[in-house]
Amino acid sequence: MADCLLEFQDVHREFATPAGPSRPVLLGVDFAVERGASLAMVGRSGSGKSTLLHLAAGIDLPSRGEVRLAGRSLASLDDPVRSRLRRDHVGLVFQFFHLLPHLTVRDNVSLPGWIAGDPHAEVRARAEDLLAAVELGDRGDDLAGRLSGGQMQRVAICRALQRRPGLVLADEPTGNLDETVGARVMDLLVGLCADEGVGLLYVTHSREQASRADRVLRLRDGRLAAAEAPA
Amino acid sequence: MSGRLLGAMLAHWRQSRTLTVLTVLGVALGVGSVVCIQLINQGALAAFAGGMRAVSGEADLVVLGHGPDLDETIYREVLAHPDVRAAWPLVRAWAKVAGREDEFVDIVGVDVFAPVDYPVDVGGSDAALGGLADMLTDPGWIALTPEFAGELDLAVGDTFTVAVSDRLLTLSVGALVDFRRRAPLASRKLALMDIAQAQHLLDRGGHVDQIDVRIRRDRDLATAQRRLQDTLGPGVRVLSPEQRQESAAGLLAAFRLNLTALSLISVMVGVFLIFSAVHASLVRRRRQFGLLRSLGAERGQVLRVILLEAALLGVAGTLVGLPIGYGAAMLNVDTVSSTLTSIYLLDEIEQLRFPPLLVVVAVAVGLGGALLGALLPALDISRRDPVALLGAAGLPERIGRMAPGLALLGLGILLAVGIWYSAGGHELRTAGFVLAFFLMVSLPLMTPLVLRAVCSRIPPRGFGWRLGWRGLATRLQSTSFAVAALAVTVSMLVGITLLIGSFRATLDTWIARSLTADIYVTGASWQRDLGRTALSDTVRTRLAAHDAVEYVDLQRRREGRTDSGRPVRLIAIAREGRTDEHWSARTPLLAGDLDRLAGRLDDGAVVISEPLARGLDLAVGDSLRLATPDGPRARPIAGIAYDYASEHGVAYMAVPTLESMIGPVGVAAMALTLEPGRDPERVIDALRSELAGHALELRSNRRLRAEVVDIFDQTFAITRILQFMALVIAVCGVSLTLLIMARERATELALYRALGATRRQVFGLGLGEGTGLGALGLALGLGGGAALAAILILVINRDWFGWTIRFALPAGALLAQAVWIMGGAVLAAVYPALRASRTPASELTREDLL
Amino acid sequence: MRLGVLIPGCMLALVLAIAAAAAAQSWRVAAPGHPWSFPDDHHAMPAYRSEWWYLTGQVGAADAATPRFGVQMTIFRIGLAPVRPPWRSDWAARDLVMGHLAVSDLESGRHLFSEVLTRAGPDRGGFPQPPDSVVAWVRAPAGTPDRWEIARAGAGFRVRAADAHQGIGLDLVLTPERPRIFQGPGGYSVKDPEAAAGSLYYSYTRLDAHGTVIAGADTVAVSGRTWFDREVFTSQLASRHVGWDWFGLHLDDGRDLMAFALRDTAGRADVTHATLVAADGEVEWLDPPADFLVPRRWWTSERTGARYPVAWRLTLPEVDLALDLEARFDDQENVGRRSGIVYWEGAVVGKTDRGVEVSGYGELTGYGGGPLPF
Repeated sequence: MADCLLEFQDVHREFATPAGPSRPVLLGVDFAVERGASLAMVGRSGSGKSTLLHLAAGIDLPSRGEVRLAGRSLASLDDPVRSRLRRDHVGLVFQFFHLLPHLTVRDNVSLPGWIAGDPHAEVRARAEDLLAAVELGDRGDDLAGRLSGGQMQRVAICRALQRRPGLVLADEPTGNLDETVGARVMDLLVGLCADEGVGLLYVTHSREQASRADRVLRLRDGRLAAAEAPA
Repeated sequence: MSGRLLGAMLAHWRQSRTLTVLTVLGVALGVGSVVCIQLINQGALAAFAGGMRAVSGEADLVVLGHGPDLDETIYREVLAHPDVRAAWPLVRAWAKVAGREDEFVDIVGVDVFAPVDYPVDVGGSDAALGGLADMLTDPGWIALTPEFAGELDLAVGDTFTVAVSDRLLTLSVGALVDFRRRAPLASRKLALMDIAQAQHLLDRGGHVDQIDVRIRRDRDLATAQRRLQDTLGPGVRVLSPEQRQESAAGLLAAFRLNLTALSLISVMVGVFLIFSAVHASLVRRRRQFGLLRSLGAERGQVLRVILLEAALLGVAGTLVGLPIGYGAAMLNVDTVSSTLTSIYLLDEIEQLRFPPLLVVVAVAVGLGGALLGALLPALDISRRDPVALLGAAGLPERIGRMAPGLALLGLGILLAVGIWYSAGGHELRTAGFVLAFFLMVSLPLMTPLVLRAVCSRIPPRGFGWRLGWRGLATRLQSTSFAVAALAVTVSMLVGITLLIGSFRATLDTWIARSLTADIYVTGASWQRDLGRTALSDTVRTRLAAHDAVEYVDLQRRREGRTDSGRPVRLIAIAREGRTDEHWSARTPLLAGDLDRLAGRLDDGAVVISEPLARGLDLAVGDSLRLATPDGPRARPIAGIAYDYASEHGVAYMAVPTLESMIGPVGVAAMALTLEPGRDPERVIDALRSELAGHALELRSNRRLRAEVVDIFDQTFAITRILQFMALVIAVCGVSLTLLIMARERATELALYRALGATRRQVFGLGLGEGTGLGALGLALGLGGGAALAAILILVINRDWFGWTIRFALPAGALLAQAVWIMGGAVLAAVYPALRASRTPASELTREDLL
Repeated sequence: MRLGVLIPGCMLALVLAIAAAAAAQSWRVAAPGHPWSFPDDHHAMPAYRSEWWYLTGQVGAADAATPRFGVQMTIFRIGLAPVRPPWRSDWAARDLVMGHLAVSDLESGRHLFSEVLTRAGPDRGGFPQPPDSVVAWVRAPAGTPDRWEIARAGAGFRVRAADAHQGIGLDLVLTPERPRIFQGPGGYSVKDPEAAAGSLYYSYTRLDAHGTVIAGADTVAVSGRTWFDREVFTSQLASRHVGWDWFGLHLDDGRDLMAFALRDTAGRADVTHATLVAADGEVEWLDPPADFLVPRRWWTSERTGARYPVAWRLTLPEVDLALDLEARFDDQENVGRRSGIVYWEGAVVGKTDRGVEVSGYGELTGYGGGPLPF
């Protein structure tokens, strides 16, 4: 299983409530994502998708069970190590883009490189390449706040891939875009990940979009089940 | 409904405790500064007023000379005047208590048969009553206040030694006199003696200090005063107690005004802080307000509730600020007292009383400041649409667009004020304060633009301070307030440091030029003598004849007045010994012909000090008109000299000139120049043992210079505490801003964490932001401070004091302050940066960053 | 006794009481056998502690039926120390000078009093010695120019004093109508036989006064008959004596009568004496009984609460003289604000049993106010 970039082994996650018993969100989740493979996760809101993604990124820790990222068990690592792991191996794409509006497009893409302290020239070159790949090469100097939704998400995808992570996690990447734009963005995301040999785990409402992935899993009431086979 | 609203608001403040604390602290420090200064200002004259009330409380008028005392024969004329119901004379003098450092007793010589009561306590037995009768016959009989007797560890019947000029006298405590029963603020150093004994011991036969007068009950006081003055002539002054008080207050006018102005700057900074805090808090709670408005609350209601909230914070801050101000005043009482006694020759501050009016002022400042600071943000929020308030997008920052306009406004104000000043504003004595005020107003106006210009040009090159600095430009509303507050404070700090540094350098140069003798000799009590007592002849001749001495300068001095009532110190110098150099040869002249000066002085001309020349608009060739017992006398002015010893003015002249105007004056001080090669310290030791029976102060040149510098330092000591308080306020502002920013940017910070930044990296970012605020505030403040220093040195000083002060850069002091400021900013950033670093990545809510 | 605030009245009494106690040994005590020498002895005798020069009388316009004014002017010397303190100051003094001036307007019944109290000194008061003609002077009260003065003038005196605030003054030249008399053998008047307390006491019992009196806005030319007393002593009151009653009377038949009674704490006359000068100038010293002076009517001062007799029956069986006396009007009380001394000094009139008119002055001390410094 050396190819498995991300592994969930019997992962439980409960949240404490103010009034007594804890509320279980994930109950015994098992799955894995290999390098270069894509996995779509569907489920209604409140089913624990965000929690799952947080756990995958090392932002949160499971109550029980093990999450392994790049072969290392996250629970045994302290926060700085997890942060570095995330920095080196994970790219994130959010539903609401989460670009920094006061920075330029290129700077937004470069952000992970800065956080890691990569050499400036390399960071810049990589950002340029990525932007060209999403057809925003000429928008590098524009302020990110000026872009349309679709354009912003494309920039976010570039940002996620800036440091050549092994895994990209996307939380409803097209949730804030209209259908046409969303489809294009999805194409780009899946395509780029495939090109770069990057594992992709994305959460979505849309069956249509889920069908692009190699595998689809359904999350219901905190448990994972295989979804219906793609039609 | 307002009540419930208020409850909700207060709950919010309770939650964000740090914010609340910082805001209250800001108000408190502003209020504290004002309270401190006002306490000092009022305390400065309280002892004088108290003393007047205790000793002359029953007088309607008092007759005084132009100098420190009066010829006794005036008393006869006063008594003969038809409007006078009663009159009695007083002899006053300060005597130094031997064996104590800087302890003086304020002797009041009274006629015990005068129609006025003194609260003398003779205590228990009949035998003790004898003590009172001994007042007339017992040599050295004196009555002390119980407090002072306690301090000197003396009881009725004990004796103690005092020095008057260079003579040692033994006084005997005959009774206790409790002046404080009559005037609680009277100095505890007042002491009572029979007038005959006082004249004898103080060597003042034929002179009294004042004559207290009661006017006939059926006469109008003002008319009687005028008639009495007319009868007595221009050789004396007839004043009411209020006028005396005013005259003393006039001595301190410049001193107090400048201190008050200083304290107001602290208030300005405090108001900024509130502005910032209230604004930030309101922005953060915009949803609450949006909800309220959409539920039907009116603009007015929302406005009122916000202002009420601010008012409560203002009150809380005032309550904290009052004790802070009192504490700060207590810390400064001693240094200010030294200034009062050494420079202004007034009484020291013995107690600080808290007049009820000051509480009102403090509340007005605290409350007013809070309301003022909250007004604009409150108006802003209350005017917005509920939709905008509730909206997902944050409130658009208007200030970004306004920045250029504001900066232009700031420049415009500076320009307008500059034109006003040169066109005619400079005639106004308060013009300097106007300039300084508008400078302090324009600086914050220019801050947003500067901030944005600097920060947005920084190319981000990594996740560190550069990203942080760029971020400052995005939240302009918060950051520009913090930077502006810091800039104003630093301006004040730098401005005053530059002033003090320049003044000190100028003073040093002047001292080097004018204090050239080797040894300075005075009587022990000369500091408070006002020139009334003299060195004894034995001392004079022995010093002049000493083999180590090449020549001596004999200084006679007397406090006097111009005929327009301005105090002038009259100094007459004569030189004895082997030298061809005239005593005036090294006078540091600002105008006048030095070569011809000696001759002109010997012919009766005078040299006046720069402040006097400026204050009365006199030049070489004009006449100085002095009030003398024989009426006004004019003397031609042969030169104007730099002189930093007194803000009121000095006139130097030859001895015959002085004595022709006010009669014979004894030698108050001697400056000895030794034969070459003699060691001053050794000579001082030799003189001390030779003249052991005399109460002399022998100072070497070095020691005198150090004393002068000490007095100078004490004068400015109080500004240091104000600077410190203002700096604390501004640094609090930095902290506040960063805290607010940390919360507002929670999503952004979560993003960084989500992207893999460690806590330490986010902490570094926050710290970098703090450094950025500090550096920008410092930079702006340096510019503002230089401008303020120019105003202080060139305008305010000239208008109020009249000295020439040459610019000097006290690099060491400035550097130290810069380090303190940056250190403070970094320190202020630590806690907020820690909070920021704790933002979990899961804070990423489903909201946009835009 | 704890004195918080001292008022001038008590002040004086205290100072004097203590000075007396402390320095009693150094003052000379009045005793018989004083070597009189005039006119020098009109001047102060500093060896003794106290003395006064005392003018009383009733004067008026020359053609008036009854005198319009009663006048009293006194200068006191009270010693503070036997030797002047050696201070180099004009304020160092061995004596206090006190001046009393009272003018009673006998027509309107108004009595005005003025007091001056000061240390002796160059501009304040003094007791010049011969050849200076002035025997005693004190500067006028505040608001009045010049000074009060008693000076020798020929065989008599010139007395002048004024107080502009009170609106009273006098300037009289006194010419003796009969020679000076001693009020006791050798000029010594016994006040307490046991304690040997007494005074040197002489009087000009009848002087013709000419001059002016100021009353309010008027300056009136006056003449009349006056009485001039001079006493010198160190202490003349025994401790059991609280005060005295004194009368200086002119009888229309040419006789002059002086009578005094020292009263004890119970109010009874303890030591009494009288001097009768006959029309031919012969002096008789009498020893009246204790009850020779009987009060007939009393008056209480609203001002001080003191109760004075204001009508008397005076009988001297020794010389077969009995007369009724009455104050010209009741309120002739002097209140010394500065000194605290309160006494009654006023014009009296009466008639002997044989119908001879009597007029003069009476002095009642010790009925109110503080202790007497004598």
